[in-house]
Amino acid sequence: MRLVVDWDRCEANGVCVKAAPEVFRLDEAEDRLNVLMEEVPSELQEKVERAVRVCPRQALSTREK
Amino acid sequence: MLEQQSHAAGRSADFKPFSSEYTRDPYPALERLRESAPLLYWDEGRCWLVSRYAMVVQLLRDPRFTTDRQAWEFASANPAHTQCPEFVAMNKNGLFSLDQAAHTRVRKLVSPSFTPRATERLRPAVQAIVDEVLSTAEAGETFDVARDFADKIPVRVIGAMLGIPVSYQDKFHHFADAVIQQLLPMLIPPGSIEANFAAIREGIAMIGEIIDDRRKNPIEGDILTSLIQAEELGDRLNKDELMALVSGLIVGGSETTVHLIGFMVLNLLRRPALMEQVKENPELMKGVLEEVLRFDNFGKLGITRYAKEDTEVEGVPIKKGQMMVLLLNSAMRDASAIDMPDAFDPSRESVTSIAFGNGAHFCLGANLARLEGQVAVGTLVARYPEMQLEGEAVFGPHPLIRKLDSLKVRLGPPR
Repeated sequence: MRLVVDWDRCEANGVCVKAAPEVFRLDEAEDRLNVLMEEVPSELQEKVERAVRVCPRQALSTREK
Repeated sequence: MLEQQSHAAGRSADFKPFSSEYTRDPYPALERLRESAPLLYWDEGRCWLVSRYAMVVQLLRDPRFTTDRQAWEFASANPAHTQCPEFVAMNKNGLFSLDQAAHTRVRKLVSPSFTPRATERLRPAVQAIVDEVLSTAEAGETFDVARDFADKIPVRVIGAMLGIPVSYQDKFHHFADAVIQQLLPMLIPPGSIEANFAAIREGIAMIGEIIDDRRKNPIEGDILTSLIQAEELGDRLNKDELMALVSGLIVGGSETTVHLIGFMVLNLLRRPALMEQVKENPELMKGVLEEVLRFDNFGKLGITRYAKEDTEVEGVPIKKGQMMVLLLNSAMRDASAIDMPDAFDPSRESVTSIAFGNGAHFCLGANLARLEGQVAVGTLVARYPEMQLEGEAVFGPHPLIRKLDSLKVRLGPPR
């Protein structure tokens, strides 16, 4: 599974960080989101799918490789 | 089919959001909608009512629907077109009306100022405003949380954020209230329409003055100055968009958070055990805030979308231009999406909250509203731990908001 971030949408609310801290991190200095991996391993897929659902800006999506 | 239609017509007539009963507690009526008519054409409001969580979320994300009120089938029938064309013109350049590329371009100019981190930096300023508003309260005497407290805070916070003097706060209120009434213009009583337009005209003139003044007297590091500079550079913001954006910040910042603060205090005072928990653990206030938005939302109805084309939603035909009112209050009590929705539980996970919308038009000020609610109510509770309700909350008439006209409390001794 591949993670796609719409950077026009992301406003660093950080809700995804709570849902999947292994994948998302807030860059405190820059106040922007960092994505730690774009290829999502199977054990993290459920968490990433949750992050996609809870993003208040609908900035996240996934697609099959 | 005929029978179904008459049945639905009956339900439409049964929906009475302007009754005092609904204002006090809209949730039984909303539950009836969810159960018997989750997608109902409401004749009086000339719109569809959407009451279930899944359908609300679907429509918030659905590209077949727009936030642009110009797309409404009755838009051109709004007397604003002839009587207040400056308002119509301004709306065309606002964040709800711009096309996707323009919306992204304009929103990005201000969104860095509204991230959780950026708003957190405003905490000392918000605290100072809350302290000052509260310092006018006399301990032991009756204090009106709605008029003496909630009403005064958000307008000062957005004013401080934009570097605008406190003397403008009444004008902000007046303008914001008039603009919010225009969200559902058919609900404005005919006798009040001219006064509504007059308030909007005054507000637009005020924004013009504020921008002109800041253009002459720029302030280092100031949001409004940076927007004016972006406009002067010409490629990222035009003059009409600048006016509409400043208007949006003032309207968004002046009104809704007032009701959030009032409803937070009301819900705490009605739950003495919860109040004790909050006093012991002030961090719980974050969950209280989310739960007040979910469980006892101050909105009577919800937010609007307009169909861009003839289409259908779950088999129901929707005509181009029809208005969909997404009942966020109802959706957040939907048992098919929320676990034990009728229990007030500040410890529940709030990540599924749609109180501030969802998607491209997610409330820009959500983090600021949260900060203001936490600081305002947290400070009130910490300073007056023995505060008690004095009589009943009084709700006033309002087309869209369960407006607390008065919430009298006995503050008790300050700490």
